[in-house]
Amino acid sequence: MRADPGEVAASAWIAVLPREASEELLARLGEDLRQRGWAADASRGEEQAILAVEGPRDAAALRAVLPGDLEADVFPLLEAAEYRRLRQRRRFLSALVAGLSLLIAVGLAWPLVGFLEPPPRTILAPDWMHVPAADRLQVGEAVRTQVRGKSIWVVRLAAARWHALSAACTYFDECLLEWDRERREFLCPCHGCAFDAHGNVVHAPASIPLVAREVELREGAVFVRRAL
Amino acid sequence: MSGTTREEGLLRALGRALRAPVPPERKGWFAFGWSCLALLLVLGTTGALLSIYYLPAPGAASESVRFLMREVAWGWLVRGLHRWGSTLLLVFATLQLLRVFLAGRYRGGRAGNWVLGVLLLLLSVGLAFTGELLAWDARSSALAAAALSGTESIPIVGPALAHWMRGGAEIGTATLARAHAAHALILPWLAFLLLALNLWLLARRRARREA
Repeated sequence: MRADPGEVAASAWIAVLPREASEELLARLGEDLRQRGWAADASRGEEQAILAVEGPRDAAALRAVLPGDLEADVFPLLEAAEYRRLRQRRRFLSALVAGLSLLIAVGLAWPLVGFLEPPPRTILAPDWMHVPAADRLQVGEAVRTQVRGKSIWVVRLAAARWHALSAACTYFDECLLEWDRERREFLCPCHGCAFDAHGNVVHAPASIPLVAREVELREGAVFVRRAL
Repeated sequence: MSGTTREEGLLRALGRALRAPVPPERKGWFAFGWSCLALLLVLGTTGALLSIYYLPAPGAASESVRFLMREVAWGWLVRGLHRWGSTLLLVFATLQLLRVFLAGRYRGGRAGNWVLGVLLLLLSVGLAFTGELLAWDARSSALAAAALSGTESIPIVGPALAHWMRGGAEIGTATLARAHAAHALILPWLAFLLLALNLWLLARRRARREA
């Protein structure tokens, strides 16, 4: 290639074997070469068999393994410096891929093990709905949410007391009530109805109190019953 | 050497394929197929994990999904990986098949891989569809209604097929149970078999080329 095979300390070599080289011979040679810690790959072309070998310091080292009666031509495939450069690059990239894979595996193992840990709240009652926004309410605050397609207000009346009431005005149910924090009343923007925090009418024209839903506090989470 | 490749197992063949040099001019194209394989692995793992918390019954299904997202540690991550993985899989599988089609690589002994590839894409669509149903929210019921009315409009077999998918006269408990069975058991195993066959064909082809 670039210099006489005998002089270059190449580390990758091509041995061209005559066509007569049998499949068994190639297999045995590959085995011999690998036992010396070299990498070997054989392929068979139309005219000859080719043995690619990585590792020998020089051509003589490779020739010593090949049978003496075999008419083999040995060529350097890569000069030592080039070979080392490519091998280093390959090693670096392999290490990079392995390292990143390991990082991803470790990074995922943590969440996946956590996922298997039974959650503190194991209730999964379909009849009760957790209202996360209600957990965080201050006393006197209210939040509007939906249960089975109906709007409701969840209001925090005391440190450990929540109420859930229908958010539709009982006088005209197209109107959604607003929570007045100062007066602690639900006001209707349509006809001026007002209800107290328990749902009782405090201002006409409405005459029917708001429908209340059961509320349960479980381990700090507010649950509203879906069914009336 | 080539002597041993004929008897090697699927895993060894896979390792060999991973280490095999890629022709430099086609380097980027190989990403699609491998991405599909990696995504299927992700989907299988996260899907198995999701089944721990999912309850396939109307009334409980959407609540169990909400529970998973809010209460279960890393539930959002596992579900997110599963959801986005499935979307990505559809994208990559389509690109992979387009590549094979445009390069004419369905010819010359690759017909088996091509047919399996198309079937796998169809299975992916089926899995994405049934997976979408499992959340059993407003979106799911709209999707189910649309898909079932579409199925119903197929001449001759349509009504029977829709009835069979629905599991009765109306969309309900049976529909969800069927979607769940298809999504969690039937379609994944079918996909796994087709995928194993596909990889086996590829490995055999590679072994023959090297021999």
